[in-house]
Amino acid sequence: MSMSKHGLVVSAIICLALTGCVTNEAIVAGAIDTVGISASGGTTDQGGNLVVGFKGAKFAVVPVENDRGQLLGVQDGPNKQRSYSVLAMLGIDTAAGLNTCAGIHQVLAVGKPADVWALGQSSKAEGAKAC
Amino acid sequence: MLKLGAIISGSLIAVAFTGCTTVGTPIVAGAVDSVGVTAGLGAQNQGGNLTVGYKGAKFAVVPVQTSQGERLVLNNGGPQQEKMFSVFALLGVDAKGGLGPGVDVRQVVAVGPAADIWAEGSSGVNKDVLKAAIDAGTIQK
Repeated sequence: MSMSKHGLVVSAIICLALTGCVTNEAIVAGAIDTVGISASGGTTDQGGNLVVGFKGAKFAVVPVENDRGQLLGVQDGPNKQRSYSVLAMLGIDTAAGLNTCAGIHQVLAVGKPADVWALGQSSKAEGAKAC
Repeated sequence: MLKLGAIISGSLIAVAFTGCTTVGTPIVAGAVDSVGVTAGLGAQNQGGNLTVGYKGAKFAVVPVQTSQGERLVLNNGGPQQEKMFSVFALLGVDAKGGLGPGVDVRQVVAVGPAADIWAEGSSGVNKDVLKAAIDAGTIQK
């Protein structure tokens, strides 16, 4: 029970920190895995696994307007606008296990690199990303 | 000991985000792994693994406006042609199954043309596919 409280406190801190960021309108995404106590064993874990606290938290905040309330985009020609390109790839969530070499790069890209990374990585096989 | 770990990691998170409130809302991304105590045994962990405190925290904060609230954009070669700053931050690898032998993790922060070049080189994008996307206007020149 005390461990659950512990996880809740840490989660609350993250939420408060994020709240400080979101002064304007923003797109927010987050994932917190295994809050509290988790214990497992067997073939999937190949031994044993114990987590007290929380195992992983990923979050991203992408604003959509500035302090003046203007849309955050770029002019891409007459009467044509383009939204900011943002790519955040932070973790992998899998229930069935991964290949030995599987994994993902933790990336934040903005602008052209976001486009290029999305184009390159989206066409690659899952198991080949970290090897 | 557990409370200390949570306090330290929580404080680091809060400190990392204090930069957010200075100039509007920036683009923020973060990953915190294994806060508290984790213990693992078995083949995947290659023996045993114990972490007390926190194992890893990665943050990136990219501003999108000036202190006057103006958008941070660049001219892209003509009237009404703008583009964003190029930013690329490679912070680590999330590999729950472990990495292959000889695999290194390059922690990179790149801005401007270096960001474009690094993204092209490390993403594995096919040059012809990239050229087609630029020609089609999906990706800006």
